[in-house]
Amino acid sequence: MKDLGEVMLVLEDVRKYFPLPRRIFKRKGGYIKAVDGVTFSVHREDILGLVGESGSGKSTLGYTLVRIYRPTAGKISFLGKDIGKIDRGELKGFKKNMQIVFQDPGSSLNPRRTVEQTLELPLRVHNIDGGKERRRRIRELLSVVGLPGVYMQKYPSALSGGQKQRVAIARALATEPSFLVLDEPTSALDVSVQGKIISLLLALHDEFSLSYLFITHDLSLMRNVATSVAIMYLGKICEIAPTAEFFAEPLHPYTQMLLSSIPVLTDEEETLKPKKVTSTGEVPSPVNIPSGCGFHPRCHKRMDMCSQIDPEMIEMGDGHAVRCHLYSEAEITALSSQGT
Amino acid sequence: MPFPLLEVRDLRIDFDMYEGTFKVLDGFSLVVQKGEKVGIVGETGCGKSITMQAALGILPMPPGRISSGEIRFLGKDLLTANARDLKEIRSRISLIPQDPSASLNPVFKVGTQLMDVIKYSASSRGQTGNAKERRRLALNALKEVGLPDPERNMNSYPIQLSGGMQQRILIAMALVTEPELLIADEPSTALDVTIQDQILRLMKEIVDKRQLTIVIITHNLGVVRELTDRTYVMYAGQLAEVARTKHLFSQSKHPYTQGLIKSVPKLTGEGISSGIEGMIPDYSNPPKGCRFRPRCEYAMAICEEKPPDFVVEEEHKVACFLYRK
Repeated sequence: MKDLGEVMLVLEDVRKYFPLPRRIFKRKGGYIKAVDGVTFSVHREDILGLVGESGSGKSTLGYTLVRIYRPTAGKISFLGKDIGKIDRGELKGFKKNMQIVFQDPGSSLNPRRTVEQTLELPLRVHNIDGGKERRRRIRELLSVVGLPGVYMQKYPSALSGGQKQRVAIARALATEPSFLVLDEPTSALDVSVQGKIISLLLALHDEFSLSYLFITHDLSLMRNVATSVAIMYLGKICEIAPTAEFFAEPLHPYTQMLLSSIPVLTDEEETLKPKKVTSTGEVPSPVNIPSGCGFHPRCHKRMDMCSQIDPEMIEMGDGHAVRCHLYSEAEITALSSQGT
Repeated sequence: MPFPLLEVRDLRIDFDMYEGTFKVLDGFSLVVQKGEKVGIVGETGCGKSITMQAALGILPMPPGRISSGEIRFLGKDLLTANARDLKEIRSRISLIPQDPSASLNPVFKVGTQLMDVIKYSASSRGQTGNAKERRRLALNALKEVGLPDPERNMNSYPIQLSGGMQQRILIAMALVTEPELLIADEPSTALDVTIQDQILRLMKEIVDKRQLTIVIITHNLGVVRELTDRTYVMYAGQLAEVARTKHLFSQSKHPYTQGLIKSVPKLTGEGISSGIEGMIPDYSNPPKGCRFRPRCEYAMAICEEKPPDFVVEEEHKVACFLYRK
């Protein structure tokens, strides 16, 4: 196994619950468990692909990491510091080091600010350079994301989707962070433009030794970009593994369903999709999470215990972990004793 | 013997805007044979949706303007037909729209909306029906698209249903009029991948069972590959290439098609292609001739003329001078 490098980010049982509005005549409104016990770690220069369908909580998790939300429970340590507990003074320093690129560049850029004004703000907030230096720095940031200097005076409405996303990436890089949360950075773009943005992100990753948490719903994209992949379903990670390992042997029934649902372009890809798994059912509302394993109503390998006991994360070796009773110790011994 | 159900000939559509005239569709032609499954692919703004909107007569005019060309359904010209004929023709074409949540009326129950469609389409054909019969048809339609508990869903409001269920209802609505031609405009784009898979399988099943003719408009090449026999690739209001779908993916000829196929990330993990240089042209002042020319690595002097469709093989046409004979 290769040297994993310095640990950047460690999540331990991170939870983010949103209270539901109180109902009349009812004491408690209950909670939406958007993120419900997530544990993983990211090393320097890792690109972790966090994949899930809408409502899986992947964006909430991303927002919790950059402290847009405060975690309800659990511990997030970034470079050794617990970011759930840092105070206002330290928060600025933390945010300098961890930045986010949002999904839709059309709405994440202020339409009334020129590109220069947009890029100037993080520099001003974090007191980076000043006067003429600052202008030079902005020009440099633009060239890093492949835009010529004349774009400084343009408004977002004059830019194409791809160019807007480049500006958003430049804004995230302005404070020289070491970690970027990318929240579906290309899903609003056409596929021929997506290639450009992804290539840019990969080049920046190599140039500045960045680490990424790449939030997406596109597994094919992660096959080509991520160093490891995590699958999220109803607020929980159900499988996580290094990319090659993950695609060679997808273990969780949900992962298999996701993979088999992808419309692919070549026969070669067709052979990589798990056979005999067809997609059924829909993602339940996070207000009403099924008992036991959240995936059991849609699972083609469901057993009796699945509706009662929520499985634990099980280490399968080589960094491959899966949350499913099919692979639990007890189950394996039960099956093998049946066989003899 | 195949015969053409829908024919679009050299269609040009302009949009008159404050900023000037946008020449969006530049002489696009398409033929759909009866019983065929046809795909139209292209990226945002290539004119794939407005072509079908024009065919259905739902293109907003103004600002849209059909400046030349013709659209025929079973030989009858839709652009010159009178209102009564048009109503009759349209009752034989159904549309599955793109965004299910925006396409259902939020203040009426699903059943009411479904029965309205049945009522209107019957009246377009000069038939009358009774309410009981309409209800039976609506329930059957909901059953056909695999909705659990159709009785209850008839009484639901759209907001009570998930995106996948709303899309199923729109499919039911499109089918309940027994159309001869089904047009699906990005039928699965708004959906998650596991739900998309279910919807695509459902459509495939119904189209095969009823032997429907279907035109699928999408930007997702994988969807086209799963569902269609023949595919048109559009770029900036012009045809780039048309071929049998299987053939297109293995033997694409047009530089744009090749770039597009290469840009899609593959499960085989061969890395990410850097996409296609440049962006779609400004329609108020499009490049002369082939509109892909400014982005094309093979561009030649002759490309300033609009390339005709060169036949490279049976049923395979490429609008590119590289294939000039």
